[in-house]
Amino acid sequence: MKWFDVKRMKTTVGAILRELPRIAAIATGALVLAIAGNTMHPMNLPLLVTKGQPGIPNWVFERLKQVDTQGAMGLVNDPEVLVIDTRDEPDFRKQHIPGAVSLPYHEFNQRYPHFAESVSKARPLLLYCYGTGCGLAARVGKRLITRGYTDVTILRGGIEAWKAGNLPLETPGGTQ
Amino acid sequence: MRIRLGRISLRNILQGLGTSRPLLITLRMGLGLVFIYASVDKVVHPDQFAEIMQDYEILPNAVVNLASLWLAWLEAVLGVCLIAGVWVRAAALMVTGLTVIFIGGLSTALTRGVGLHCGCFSTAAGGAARTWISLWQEGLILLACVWLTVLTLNDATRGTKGPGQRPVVM
Repeated sequence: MKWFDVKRMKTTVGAILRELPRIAAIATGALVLAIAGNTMHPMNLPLLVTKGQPGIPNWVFERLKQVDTQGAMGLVNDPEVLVIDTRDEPDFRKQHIPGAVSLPYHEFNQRYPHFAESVSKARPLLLYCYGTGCGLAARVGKRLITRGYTDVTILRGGIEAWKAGNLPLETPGGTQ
Repeated sequence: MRIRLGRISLRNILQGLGTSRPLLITLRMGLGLVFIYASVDKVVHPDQFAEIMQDYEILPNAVVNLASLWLAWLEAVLGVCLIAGVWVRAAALMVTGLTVIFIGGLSTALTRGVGLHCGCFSTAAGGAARTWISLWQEGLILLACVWLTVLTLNDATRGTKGPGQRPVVM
């Protein structure tokens, strides 16, 4: 059997090249549908991310309040505010901001029903995750806002910023 | 190389598989359904698919939304093309290219030690990351895509030759 045939290869390449206009048409059609579908979708994502992060619509981003560690201190000490750790559960168990509860991003769907039963929609929430590059708090914040929570704040810089400020942490051995 | 099993040779088997019309239709329908199924959750939850694409850390954040929206709809359009039998050769080439890109993305995530949710068929973030399983899944899909592309290209090179040989694809 002849495994490599130059003439046949040329014919195949020619057949592929003849498909290029159709490939371009399919790609363009999908792009038009994507943009049209997005404008009709309730999320209506910004096509180019200029603020916030991917997957967060502008209308959600505008409702997500942000505080630095100084501002967060006041919120943590306020018993009305629920502090939420959006990191994975093992990291929460090692250490977390005093009084925080765990609502990991990766387990949100499983844990949300119980959370919704026990936390009222009007309660102020302070969310944090690992650090500056971590978007988990914003992602959980988006899910809470779209489910009706009205007062959602994110700690800028996450637990890294909190630790950098030498602020107290709760560990299995007690508060440090 | 010549392998014979009685009257059946490997060459005959390969030639048969490379030109079989029922196989082409089965692959078209199967892959079309797979791509449409894969696109549904992404089209319904574009924000969650954008989050998954961000986790791959391949594209700059600025274009992740646009890329994820486009990919979701591209999968849907390609699925429809394959099932409807419209522009099948172009669609076969594109699904092969897309699957290669997906496998590349998953592989780079694995080599960088990023445990992520593939986002191949669902945008749900729950449960453990299954990057290896996703890679196997995509590998099987790639095999089907390549076979479909070979069939459609064989059809293209053969369809113009003999009289009475009707091309199977447009």
